[in-house]
Amino acid sequence: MSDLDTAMIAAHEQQDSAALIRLYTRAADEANALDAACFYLTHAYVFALEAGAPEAAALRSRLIAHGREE
Amino acid sequence: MNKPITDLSNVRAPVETANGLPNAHYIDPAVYEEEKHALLYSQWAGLAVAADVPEPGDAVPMEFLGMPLLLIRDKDGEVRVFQNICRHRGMILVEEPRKIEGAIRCPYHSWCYSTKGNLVSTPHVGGPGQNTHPAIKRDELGLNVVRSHVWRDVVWINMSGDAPEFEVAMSDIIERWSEFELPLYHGGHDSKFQLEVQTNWKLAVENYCESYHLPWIHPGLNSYSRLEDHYHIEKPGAFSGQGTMVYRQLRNEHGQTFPDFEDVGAKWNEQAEYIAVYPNVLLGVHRDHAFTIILEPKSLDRTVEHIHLYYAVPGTDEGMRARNTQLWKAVFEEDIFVVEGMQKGRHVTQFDGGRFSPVMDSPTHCFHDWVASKMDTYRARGQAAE
Repeated sequence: MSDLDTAMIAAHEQQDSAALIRLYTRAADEANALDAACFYLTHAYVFALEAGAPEAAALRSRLIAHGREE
Repeated sequence: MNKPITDLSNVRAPVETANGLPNAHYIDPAVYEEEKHALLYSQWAGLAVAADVPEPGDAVPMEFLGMPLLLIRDKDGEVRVFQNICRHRGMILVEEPRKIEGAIRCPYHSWCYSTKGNLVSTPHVGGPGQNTHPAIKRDELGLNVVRSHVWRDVVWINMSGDAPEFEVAMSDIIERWSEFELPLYHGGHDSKFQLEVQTNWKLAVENYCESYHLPWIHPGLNSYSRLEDHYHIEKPGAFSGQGTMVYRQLRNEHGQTFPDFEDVGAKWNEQAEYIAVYPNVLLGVHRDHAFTIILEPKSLDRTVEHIHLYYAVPGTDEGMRARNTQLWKAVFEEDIFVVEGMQKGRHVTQFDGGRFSPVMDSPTHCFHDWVASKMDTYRARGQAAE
Protein backbone atom coordinates (compact mmCIF):
# COMPACT_ATOMS: atom_id res chain seq x y z
CA MET A 1 0.00 0.00 0.00
CA SER A 2 1.39 3.39 -0.96
CA ASP A 3 1.97 6.19 1.49
CA LEU A 4 -0.85 8.05 -0.20
CA ASP A 5 -3.31 5.19 0.36
CA THR A 6 -2.28 4.97 3.99
CA ALA A 7 -2.70 8.72 4.46
CA MET A 8 -6.12 8.64 2.78
CA ILE A 9 -7.35 5.85 5.03
CA ALA A 10 -6.15 7.75 8.08
CA ALA A 11 -7.87 10.92 6.87
CA HIS A 12 -11.11 9.03 6.35
CA GLU A 13 -10.88 7.54 9.83
CA GLN A 14 -10.28 10.95 11.36
CA GLN A 15 -12.86 12.63 9.12
CA ASP A 16 -10.18 15.19 8.40
CA SER A 17 -11.77 17.06 5.52
CA ALA A 18 -8.77 19.31 4.84
CA ALA A 19 -6.55 16.26 4.51
CA LEU A 20 -9.09 14.44 2.36
CA ILE A 21 -9.30 17.37 -0.04
CA ARG A 22 -5.54 17.66 -0.20
CA LEU A 23 -4.84 13.92 -0.59
CA TYR A 24 -7.50 13.27 -3.23
CA THR A 25 -6.31 16.28 -5.18
CA ARG A 26 -2.76 14.93 -5.02
CA ALA A 27 -4.01 11.50 -6.16
CA ALA A 28 -5.70 13.17 -9.13
CA ASP A 29 -2.54 15.07 -10.00
CA GLU A 30 -0.47 11.89 -9.86
CA ALA A 31 -2.91 9.68 -11.80
CA ASN A 32 -1.73 8.71 -15.26
CA ALA A 33 -5.20 8.24 -16.80
CA LEU A 34 -7.96 10.82 -17.18
CA ASP A 35 -10.70 8.59 -15.73
CA ALA A 36 -8.63 7.86 -12.67
CA ALA A 37 -7.78 11.54 -12.26
CA CYS A 38 -11.45 12.53 -12.48
CA PHE A 39 -12.38 9.83 -9.99
CA TYR A 40 -10.02 11.36 -7.43
CA LEU A 41 -10.95 14.90 -8.37
CA THR A 42 -14.59 14.03 -7.72
CA HIS A 43 -13.77 12.91 -4.22
CA ALA A 44 -11.70 15.99 -3.53
CA TYR A 45 -14.55 18.15 -4.85
CA VAL A 46 -17.23 16.41 -2.77
CA PHE A 47 -15.24 16.76 0.44
CA ALA A 48 -14.54 20.40 -0.38
CA LEU A 49 -18.24 21.01 -1.03
CA GLU A 50 -19.19 19.38 2.24
CA ALA A 51 -16.65 21.40 4.18
CA GLY A 52 -17.45 24.66 2.44
CA ALA A 53 -13.75 24.79 1.54
CA PRO A 54 -12.50 27.40 -0.93
CA GLU A 55 -10.88 24.67 -3.08
CA ALA A 56 -14.34 23.57 -4.24
CA ALA A 57 -14.57 26.15 -7.02
CA ALA A 58 -11.26 25.22 -8.63
CA LEU A 59 -11.92 21.48 -8.33
CA ARG A 60 -15.32 21.95 -9.96
CA SER A 61 -13.73 23.91 -12.79
CA ARG A 62 -11.28 21.08 -13.43
CA LEU A 63 -14.13 18.55 -13.57
CA ILE A 64 -16.16 20.77 -15.89
CA ALA A 65 -13.13 21.15 -18.15
CA HIS A 66 -13.14 17.39 -18.59
CA GLY A 67 -16.93 17.24 -19.12
CA ARG A 68 -17.43 15.50 -15.75
CA GLU A 69 -19.44 18.08 -13.84
CA GLU A 70 -22.11 20.64 -14.59
CA MET B 1 -70.01 2.29 2.83
CA ASN B 2 -67.76 1.80 5.88
CA LYS B 3 -69.13 2.95 9.21
CA PRO B 4 -66.85 5.50 10.90
CA ILE B 5 -64.84 4.11 13.82
CA THR B 6 -66.38 6.64 16.20
CA ASP B 7 -69.69 8.48 16.31
CA LEU B 8 -68.99 12.18 16.79
CA SER B 9 -72.50 13.52 16.31
CA ASN B 10 -72.96 14.40 19.96
CA VAL B 11 -69.51 15.95 20.30
CA ARG B 12 -70.66 18.81 18.10
CA ALA B 13 -73.86 19.43 20.08
CA PRO B 14 -74.04 22.62 22.20
CA VAL B 15 -71.83 22.51 25.28
CA GLU B 16 -74.85 22.04 27.55
CA THR B 17 -75.67 18.67 26.03
CA ALA B 18 -72.47 17.61 24.28
CA ASN B 19 -70.28 14.72 25.26
CA GLY B 20 -66.53 14.85 24.95
CA LEU B 21 -64.63 12.85 22.37
CA PRO B 22 -65.09 9.09 22.71
CA ASN B 23 -62.39 6.96 24.34
CA ALA B 24 -61.19 5.67 20.99
CA HIS B 25 -59.74 9.11 20.22
CA TYR B 26 -57.23 8.53 23.00
CA ILE B 27 -56.58 4.79 22.97
CA ASP B 28 -57.38 3.33 19.54
CA PRO B 29 -54.44 3.13 17.09
CA ALA B 30 -56.83 3.27 14.13
CA VAL B 31 -58.26 6.61 15.29
CA TYR B 32 -54.76 7.90 16.06
CA GLU B 33 -53.86 7.14 12.44
CA GLU B 34 -56.95 9.00 11.23
CA GLU B 35 -56.18 11.96 13.46
CA LYS B 36 -52.59 12.05 12.22
CA HIS B 37 -53.93 13.02 8.82
CA ALA B 38 -57.10 14.90 9.79
CA LEU B 39 -55.68 17.00 12.63
CA LEU B 40 -51.94 17.24 12.13
CA TYR B 41 -50.71 16.61 8.56
CA SER B 42 -53.46 18.65 6.94
CA GLN B 43 -53.17 21.65 9.29
CA TRP B 44 -50.41 24.06 10.26
CA ALA B 45 -48.85 22.14 13.13
CA GLY B 46 -46.01 23.22 15.37
CA LEU B 47 -42.75 21.35 14.73
CA ALA B 48 -40.05 23.28 16.56
CA VAL B 49 -38.85 26.81 17.24
CA ALA B 50 -36.54 28.80 15.00
CA ALA B 51 -34.29 29.28 18.03
CA ASP B 52 -33.43 25.57 17.71
CA VAL B 53 -31.28 26.58 14.72
CA PRO B 54 -29.88 29.97 15.73
CA GLU B 55 -27.01 30.23 13.22
CA PRO B 56 -26.81 29.77 9.44
CA GLY B 57 -25.90 26.15 8.69
CA ASP B 58 -27.40 24.81 11.94
CA ALA B 59 -29.26 21.61 11.19
CA VAL B 60 -31.38 19.53 13.54
CA PRO B 61 -32.90 16.20 12.54
CA MET B 62 -36.32 15.65 14.05
CA GLU B 63 -39.29 13.39 13.71
CA PHE B 64 -42.87 14.42 13.25
CA LEU B 65 -45.28 11.55 13.79
CA GLY B 66 -42.51 9.13 12.91
CA MET B 67 -41.46 10.94 9.73
CA PRO B 68 -37.79 12.03 9.65
CA LEU B 69 -37.50 15.75 8.95
CA LEU B 70 -34.60 18.17 8.86
CA LEU B 71 -34.85 21.64 10.37
CA ILE B 72 -32.13 23.86 8.97
CA ARG B 73 -31.21 27.52 8.81
CA ASP B 74 -29.79 28.10 5.35
CA LYS B 75 -26.71 30.14 4.49
CA ASP B 76 -28.83 33.28 4.14
CA GLY B 77 -30.52 32.81 7.49
CA GLU B 78 -33.87 31.46 6.33
CA VAL B 79 -35.37 28.59 8.31
CA ARG B 80 -36.37 25.62 6.17
CA VAL B 81 -37.80 22.15 6.71
CA PHE B 82 -37.02 19.20 4.45
CA GLN B 83 -37.65 15.50 4.45
CA ASN B 84 -34.44 14.22 5.98
CA ILE B 85 -33.70 11.73 3.21
CA CYS B 86 -31.59 11.59 0.08
CA ARG B 87 -33.47 11.63 -3.22
CA HIS B 88 -31.24 8.77 -4.38
CA ARG B 89 -31.83 5.83 -2.05
CA GLY B 90 -33.86 7.38 0.72
CA MET B 91 -30.96 7.30 3.16
CA ILE B 92 -31.17 9.48 6.28
CA LEU B 93 -29.02 12.53 5.61
CA VAL B 94 -28.40 14.06 9.03
CA GLU B 95 -28.39 11.83 12.12
CA GLU B 96 -27.35 14.31 14.81
CA PRO B 97 -27.73 18.07 15.28
CA ARG B 98 -24.72 19.75 13.66
CA LYS B 99 -23.44 22.66 11.69
CA ILE B 100 -23.46 22.26 7.90
CA GLU B 101 -20.30 24.07 6.87
CA GLY B 102 -20.82 23.72 3.12
CA ALA B 103 -23.17 21.11 1.75
CA ILE B 104 -25.21 18.25 3.20
CA ARG B 105 -23.45 15.12 2.00
CA CYS B 106 -25.40 11.90 2.00
CA PRO B 107 -23.32 9.41 3.98
CA TYR B 108 -24.19 6.61 1.51
CA HIS B 109 -23.13 7.59 -2.07
CA SER B 110 -22.25 11.22 -1.28
CA TRP B 111 -24.93 13.04 -3.24
CA CYS B 112 -24.68 16.60 -1.92
CA TYR B 113 -27.35 19.22 -1.23
CA SER B 114 -27.03 22.90 -0.46
CA THR B 115 -28.58 24.25 2.74
CA LYS B 116 -31.41 25.52 0.52
CA GLY B 117 -32.09 21.94 -0.56
CA ASN B 118 -30.63 22.09 -4.07
CA LEU B 119 -28.91 18.96 -5.36
CA VAL B 120 -25.40 20.18 -6.11
CA SER B 121 -23.35 17.04 -6.64
CA THR B 122 -24.01 13.51 -7.86
CA PRO B 123 -20.59 11.85 -7.78
CA HIS B 124 -19.99 8.99 -10.22
CA VAL B 125 -23.65 9.01 -11.23
CA GLY B 126 -22.66 8.51 -14.87
CA GLY B 127 -19.86 6.05 -14.06
CA PRO B 128 -16.53 6.45 -12.26
CA GLY B 129 -15.38 10.05 -12.39
CA GLN B 130 -18.41 11.05 -14.48
CA ASN B 131 -20.69 13.11 -12.23
CA THR B 132 -23.56 13.85 -14.57
CA HIS B 133 -26.02 11.79 -16.53
CA PRO B 134 -28.82 13.03 -18.80
CA ALA B 135 -31.40 11.07 -16.78
CA ILE B 136 -30.43 12.71 -13.51
CA LYS B 137 -31.77 16.24 -13.64
CA ARG B 138 -30.45 17.94 -10.55
CA ASP B 139 -33.01 20.73 -10.62
CA GLU B 140 -35.75 18.12 -10.25
CA LEU B 141 -34.07 16.23 -7.45
CA GLY B 142 -33.63 18.73 -4.67
CA LEU B 143 -34.59 17.80 -1.14
CA ASN B 144 -38.33 17.43 -0.70
CA VAL B 145 -39.57 20.58 0.95
CA VAL B 146 -41.99 20.49 3.86
CA ARG B 147 -44.15 23.59 3.68
CA SER B 148 -43.24 25.76 6.65
CA HIS B 149 -43.78 29.18 8.14
CA VAL B 150 -42.26 30.91 11.16
CA TRP B 151 -44.60 32.91 13.39
CA ARG B 152 -43.88 33.83 17.02
CA ASP B 153 -40.63 31.88 16.48
CA VAL B 154 -42.66 28.66 16.06
CA VAL B 155 -41.82 26.67 12.95
CA TRP B 156 -45.25 25.62 11.72
CA ILE B 157 -45.47 22.91 9.08
CA ASN B 158 -48.19 21.76 6.75
CA MET B 159 -47.25 18.21 5.80
CA SER B 160 -50.06 17.72 3.29
CA GLY B 161 -49.07 20.90 1.48
CA ASP B 162 -52.64 21.91 0.76
CA ALA B 163 -53.68 24.00 3.76
CA PRO B 164 -54.52 27.66 3.07
CA GLU B 165 -51.61 30.09 3.32
CA PHE B 166 -50.44 30.43 6.94
CA GLU B 167 -51.53 34.06 7.22
CA VAL B 168 -54.99 33.08 6.03
CA ALA B 169 -55.32 29.96 8.15
CA MET B 170 -54.08 31.80 11.25
CA SER B 171 -55.55 35.22 10.53
CA ASP B 172 -57.74 35.31 13.66
CA ILE B 173 -54.97 34.65 16.15
CA ILE B 174 -52.55 36.92 14.29
CA GLU B 175 -55.15 39.68 14.47
CA ARG B 176 -55.98 39.04 18.13
CA TRP B 177 -52.36 39.39 19.16
CA SER B 178 -51.35 42.00 16.63
CA GLU B 179 -50.08 44.23 19.47
CA PHE B 180 -47.55 41.50 20.24
CA GLU B 181 -46.24 41.36 16.68
CA LEU B 182 -42.82 42.37 17.98
CA PRO B 183 -39.39 40.76 18.03
CA LEU B 184 -39.13 37.84 20.45
CA TYR B 185 -35.84 36.94 22.07
CA HIS B 186 -35.46 33.37 23.26
CA GLY B 187 -34.00 33.32 26.76
CA GLY B 188 -31.44 30.67 25.75
CA HIS B 189 -30.45 27.45 27.46
CA ASP B 190 -32.01 28.43 30.79
CA SER B 191 -35.31 29.20 29.11
CA LYS B 192 -36.25 25.89 27.59
CA PHE B 193 -37.17 22.48 28.94
CA GLN B 194 -39.12 19.40 28.01
CA LEU B 195 -41.71 17.39 29.85
CA GLU B 196 -42.50 13.84 28.83
CA VAL B 197 -46.03 12.89 29.67
CA GLN B 198 -47.87 9.61 29.31
CA THR B 199 -50.90 11.04 27.60
CA ASN B 200 -52.47 11.64 24.25
CA TRP B 201 -51.48 15.10 23.00
CA LYS B 202 -55.10 16.30 22.85
CA LEU B 203 -55.53 16.01 26.60
CA ALA B 204 -52.70 18.52 27.05
CA VAL B 205 -54.58 20.93 24.77
CA GLU B 206 -57.85 20.34 26.59
CA ASN B 207 -56.33 21.01 29.99
CA TYR B 208 -54.42 24.08 28.82
CA CYS B 209 -57.33 25.94 27.33
CA GLU B 210 -59.64 26.06 30.36
CA SER B 211 -59.28 27.95 33.62
CA TYR B 212 -61.74 25.73 35.53
CA HIS B 213 -58.93 23.61 36.93
CA LEU B 214 -56.70 26.45 38.08
CA PRO B 215 -57.78 26.75 41.73
CA TRP B 216 -57.59 22.99 42.24
CA ILE B 217 -54.45 22.09 40.34
CA HIS B 218 -52.51 25.32 40.76
CA PRO B 219 -53.52 26.50 44.25
CA GLY B 220 -50.48 28.76 44.34
CA LEU B 221 -52.23 31.02 41.85
CA ASN B 222 -55.21 31.53 44.16
CA SER B 223 -53.50 34.19 46.22
CA TYR B 224 -53.61 36.67 43.38
CA SER B 225 -55.26 35.03 40.38
CA ARG B 226 -58.66 33.75 41.31
CA LEU B 227 -61.06 31.95 39.05
CA GLU B 228 -63.25 35.02 38.66
CA ASP B 229 -60.29 36.99 37.34
CA HIS B 230 -60.20 34.78 34.24
CA TYR B 231 -62.14 34.87 31.01
CA HIS B 232 -62.66 32.41 28.17
CA ILE B 233 -61.21 32.83 24.70
CA GLU B 234 -62.94 30.98 21.90
CA LYS B 235 -62.62 31.17 18.16
CA PRO B 236 -64.42 28.14 16.78
CA GLY B 237 -62.35 26.37 14.18
CA ALA B 238 -59.12 28.05 15.15
CA PHE B 239 -58.19 28.37 18.82
CA SER B 240 -59.40 28.58 22.40
CA GLY B 241 -57.95 29.43 25.74
CA GLN B 242 -58.19 31.70 28.70
CA GLY B 243 -57.11 35.10 29.85
CA THR B 244 -56.39 36.68 33.20
CA MET B 245 -56.99 40.25 34.32
CA VAL B 246 -54.54 40.15 37.21
CA TYR B 247 -51.15 39.22 35.78
CA ARG B 248 -48.40 40.15 38.20
CA GLN B 249 -44.89 40.68 36.97
CA LEU B 250 -41.99 38.76 38.45
CA ARG B 251 -39.71 41.01 40.53
CA ASN B 252 -36.22 40.38 41.80
CA GLU B 253 -34.95 41.37 45.24
CA HIS B 254 -34.36 44.91 43.99
CA GLY B 255 -37.91 45.20 42.70
CA GLN B 256 -36.80 45.03 39.09
CA THR B 257 -38.96 43.47 36.39
CA PHE B 258 -38.28 42.20 32.90
CA PRO B 259 -38.46 44.97 30.27
CA ASP B 260 -41.87 45.24 28.62
CA PHE B 261 -42.63 44.52 25.00
CA GLU B 262 -42.66 48.08 23.75
CA ASP B 263 -45.94 49.65 22.71
CA VAL B 264 -48.17 46.73 23.66
CA GLY B 265 -50.45 49.21 25.35
CA ALA B 266 -51.92 49.75 28.81
CA LYS B 267 -54.55 47.07 28.20
CA TRP B 268 -51.85 44.49 28.86
CA ASN B 269 -50.59 46.01 32.12
CA GLU B 270 -52.29 43.29 34.13
CA GLN B 271 -53.80 41.20 31.39
CA ALA B 272 -52.30 38.01 29.99
CA GLU B 273 -53.62 35.38 27.63
CA TYR B 274 -53.04 31.66 27.19
CA ILE B 275 -54.25 30.21 23.94
CA ALA B 276 -54.15 26.77 22.36
CA VAL B 277 -53.69 27.33 18.65
CA TYR B 278 -55.05 24.17 17.05
CA PRO B 279 -53.75 21.63 16.66
CA ASN B 280 -50.72 21.44 18.92
CA VAL B 281 -49.24 24.79 19.91
CA LEU B 282 -49.91 26.37 23.29
CA LEU B 283 -48.97 30.03 23.58
CA GLY B 284 -48.87 32.52 26.41
CA VAL B 285 -48.34 36.27 26.23
CA HIS B 286 -47.63 38.80 28.97
CA ARG B 287 -46.41 42.41 28.92
CA ASP B 288 -42.86 41.29 29.66
CA HIS B 289 -42.47 37.71 28.45
CA ALA B 290 -44.07 35.02 26.37
CA PHE B 291 -43.90 31.27 26.20
CA THR B 292 -44.53 28.56 23.68
CA ILE B 293 -45.33 24.92 24.26
CA ILE B 294 -45.10 22.64 21.27
CA LEU B 295 -46.83 19.34 21.85
CA GLU B 296 -44.98 16.57 20.08
CA PRO B 297 -47.19 13.50 19.74
CA LYS B 298 -44.80 10.56 20.18
CA SER B 299 -47.50 7.92 20.12
CA LEU B 300 -51.11 7.37 21.04
CA ASP B 301 -50.42 7.85 24.73
CA ARG B 302 -47.07 9.62 24.87
CA THR B 303 -46.40 13.31 24.33
CA VAL B 304 -43.34 15.49 24.73
CA GLU B 305 -44.00 19.09 25.68
CA HIS B 306 -41.27 21.42 24.37
CA ILE B 307 -41.38 24.63 26.38
CA HIS B 308 -39.60 27.86 25.37
CA LEU B 309 -39.61 31.25 27.10
CA TYR B 310 -39.12 34.56 25.29
CA TYR B 311 -38.42 38.13 26.29
CA ALA B 312 -38.80 41.58 24.79
CA VAL B 313 -35.08 42.27 24.66
CA PRO B 314 -31.90 40.18 24.45
CA GLY B 315 -29.69 39.84 27.48
CA THR B 316 -32.28 39.86 30.25
CA ASP B 317 -31.11 39.16 33.79
CA GLU B 318 -29.94 35.56 34.03
CA GLY B 319 -31.13 35.00 37.58
CA MET B 320 -34.59 36.34 36.85
CA ARG B 321 -34.84 34.25 33.71
CA ALA B 322 -33.95 31.11 35.64
CA ARG B 323 -36.55 31.97 38.27
CA ASN B 324 -39.22 32.58 35.66
CA THR B 325 -38.41 29.28 33.97
CA GLN B 326 -38.66 27.52 37.32
CA LEU B 327 -42.00 29.17 38.10
CA TRP B 328 -43.55 28.03 34.83
CA LYS B 329 -41.98 24.60 35.07
CA ALA B 330 -43.59 24.10 38.46
CA VAL B 331 -46.99 25.14 37.07
CA PHE B 332 -46.73 22.86 34.03
CA GLU B 333 -45.55 19.95 36.17
CA GLU B 334 -48.64 20.35 38.33
CA ASP B 335 -50.71 19.51 35.25
CA ILE B 336 -48.95 16.22 34.50
CA PHE B 337 -50.91 13.96 36.84
CA VAL B 338 -54.14 15.37 35.44
CA VAL B 339 -53.42 14.71 31.77
CA GLU B 340 -51.96 11.30 32.62
CA GLY B 341 -54.93 10.49 34.85
CA MET B 342 -57.42 11.40 32.13
CA GLN B 343 -55.48 9.19 29.70
CA LYS B 344 -55.74 6.23 32.06
CA GLY B 345 -59.42 7.04 32.53
CA ARG B 346 -60.04 6.54 28.81
CA HIS B 347 -59.66 2.79 29.34
CA VAL B 348 -62.98 2.66 31.22
CA THR B 349 -65.08 1.20 28.44
CA GLN B 350 -68.31 2.75 29.63
CA PHE B 351 -66.97 6.33 29.71
CA ASP B 352 -69.13 8.39 27.40
CA GLY B 353 -66.61 11.17 26.72
CA GLY B 354 -67.85 13.05 29.77
CA ARG B 355 -70.12 16.04 30.22
CA PHE B 356 -68.97 19.63 30.28
CA SER B 357 -69.67 22.51 32.62
CA PRO B 358 -71.71 24.75 30.30
CA VAL B 359 -70.13 27.77 31.97
CA MET B 360 -66.54 26.74 32.58
CA ASP B 361 -65.64 24.19 29.91
CA SER B 362 -66.58 25.89 26.68
CA PRO B 363 -62.96 26.42 25.51
CA THR B 364 -62.40 22.66 25.77
CA HIS B 365 -65.66 21.98 24.01
CA CYS B 366 -64.55 24.41 21.31
CA PHE B 367 -61.47 22.22 20.74
CA HIS B 368 -63.53 19.03 20.65
CA ASP B 369 -65.85 20.62 18.14
CA TRP B 370 -62.84 21.45 15.96
CA VAL B 371 -61.52 17.88 16.24
CA ALA B 372 -64.93 16.48 15.32
CA SER B 373 -65.33 18.83 12.36
CA LYS B 374 -61.90 17.94 10.98
CA MET B 375 -62.58 14.24 11.47
CA ASP B 376 -65.93 14.58 9.71
CA THR B 377 -64.24 16.28 6.77
CA TYR B 378 -61.49 13.68 6.62
CA ARG B 379 -63.90 10.78 6.80
CA ALA B 380 -66.23 12.30 4.23
CA ARG B 381 -63.31 12.67 1.85
CA GLY B 382 -62.43 9.02 2.41
CA GLN B 383 -66.01 7.94 1.73
CA ALA B 384 -66.15 10.02 -1.42
CA ALA B 385 -62.98 8.34 -2.65
CA GLU B 386 -64.45 4.86 -2.19
